[in-house]
Amino acid sequence: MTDTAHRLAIETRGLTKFYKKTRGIEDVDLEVEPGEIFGFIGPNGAGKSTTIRTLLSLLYPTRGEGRVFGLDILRDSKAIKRRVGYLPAEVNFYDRLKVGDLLAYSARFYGVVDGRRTRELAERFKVDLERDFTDLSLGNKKKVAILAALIHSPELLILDEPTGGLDPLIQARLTETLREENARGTTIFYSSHVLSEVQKICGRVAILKGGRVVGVEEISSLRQKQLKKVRLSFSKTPEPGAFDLEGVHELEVKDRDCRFLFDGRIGDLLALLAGMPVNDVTLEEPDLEEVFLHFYKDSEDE
Amino acid sequence: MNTNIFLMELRRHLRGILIWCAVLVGLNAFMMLFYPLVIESGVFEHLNTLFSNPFFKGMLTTFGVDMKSMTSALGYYVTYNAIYTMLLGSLVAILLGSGLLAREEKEKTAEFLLTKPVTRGEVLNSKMAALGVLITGLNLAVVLAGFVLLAVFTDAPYDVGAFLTVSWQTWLLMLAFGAVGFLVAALAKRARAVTGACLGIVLGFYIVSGLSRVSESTRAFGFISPFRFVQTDIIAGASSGGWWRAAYFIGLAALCVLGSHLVYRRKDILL
Repeated sequence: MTDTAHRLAIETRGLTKFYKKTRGIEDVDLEVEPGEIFGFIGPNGAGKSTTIRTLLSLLYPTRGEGRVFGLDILRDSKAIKRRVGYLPAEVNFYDRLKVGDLLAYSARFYGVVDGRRTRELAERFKVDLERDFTDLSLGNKKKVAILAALIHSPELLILDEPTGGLDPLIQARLTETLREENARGTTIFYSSHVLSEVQKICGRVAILKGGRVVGVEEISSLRQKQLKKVRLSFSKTPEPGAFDLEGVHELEVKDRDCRFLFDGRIGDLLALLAGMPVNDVTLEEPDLEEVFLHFYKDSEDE
Repeated sequence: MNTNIFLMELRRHLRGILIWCAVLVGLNAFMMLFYPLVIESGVFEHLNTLFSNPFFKGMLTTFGVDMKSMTSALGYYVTYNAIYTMLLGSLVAILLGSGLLAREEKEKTAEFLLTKPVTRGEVLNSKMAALGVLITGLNLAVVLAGFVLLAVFTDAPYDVGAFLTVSWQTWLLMLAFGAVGFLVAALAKRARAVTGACLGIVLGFYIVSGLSRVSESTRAFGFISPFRFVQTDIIAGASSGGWWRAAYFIGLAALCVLGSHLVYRRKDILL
């Protein structure tokens, strides 16, 4: 599958997982280059976690194959896991253990017995190593899991919804830490349903929908077709054809309110609005579903 | 085998096993407390007439009680031991075995453990080793306490060999049930039903084994139950068939271990 000269960090071919009759993922092809920050986005239930769990051999693929650093996800799973740090979407650890003990337990699997990095990371993410894990809040549990994923300085970080439950300060610290790790050569596979979050940090992004990869985009090109959701309220009903502007899609006018998606030049839109009796305007980022519907309408019509 | 997992499991389950040690030793001690009183009052002689009635005799036999052997200290100890240590110990073992595996899935910690650099086989072996150590410790405690209790409550000599025979068979019985627990947990699609299934298996086999002792025609039938392979009528005669009993328990455990490995290696961990 791969030549030795160029080993991909993650490579899947036709990776498929069915739970009995229910579709998990179907024919997922991915190619993640070593050293990149690769986004993996899709709405809930698209199969992001299924893909990750299959890569980590928690799930047995129905068909297809996958490699991590050229190693087969089924045969060489142990060797793969030695080089991977995984942050699950939902964090669960053993009861009645102190955070420090849990992290030491986790680190020993990788032969890390020196607690220095643990203490460094604990400092950075404000994790109290003496607390009982069970007593922690959701966000604090997540922080412990972040530490567990980073402690052995893995070559590949697989993050499933990493910011869920984190306050903005810690989110920023995580982003900063990920950039640092990446600068040291760590490949990052970043799964999320929040587009803006992925845009902030990733170079490329694969878009998953209904268990299939519907597109792989450079973030820069996604930015160019940046989509805005525009809602306007006028003091009188706008004339028909008032929004005859390039980049206006799915225009809906209801009395004096109107809404549309816009992917043209913002300057043009503002110039147009300047001459109109606008009472109120909202410009917001559309949710992922709308982005997908907009960009990937064709792939949906199967 | 991964020492990290092994030591963690020992640590996590030590307290529970210590509590069970205390419970089993306590129950045995409690029953032995009554032994001098029971002998002195001659209650067994009185009861003998009552229990020669076939109905009551059948009931007692179900629980492995033999009036004749009850009068000796060892017979008395072994009779109660068969109810407490064998039944409760088997429950402890099967729940520990199944819990070691199923709780990882039920409490979703499997996602942590199985994304560590260990194979599924190593996870199983480490957990099985932990079960072996814990169950062996539990048995050692109960047996040692048994020696002490017998020394305290009777001056009459008893057959140490017979006591040890019952003890090692009980130990192997528990280990075998521990292995059954692993297999049940490995086979279960969803971890929630595991505890109930395990309780059912142990209680079911216990009852089958007991009922089969009631009449001669059902005796052979009892051997579908592991409990039936522990020789409890040891006071009446010399111990017999030690080797095939040991072979049976070890064979049963080995089959379950093998089965768990085959199933768990390719199991989907659904969380």
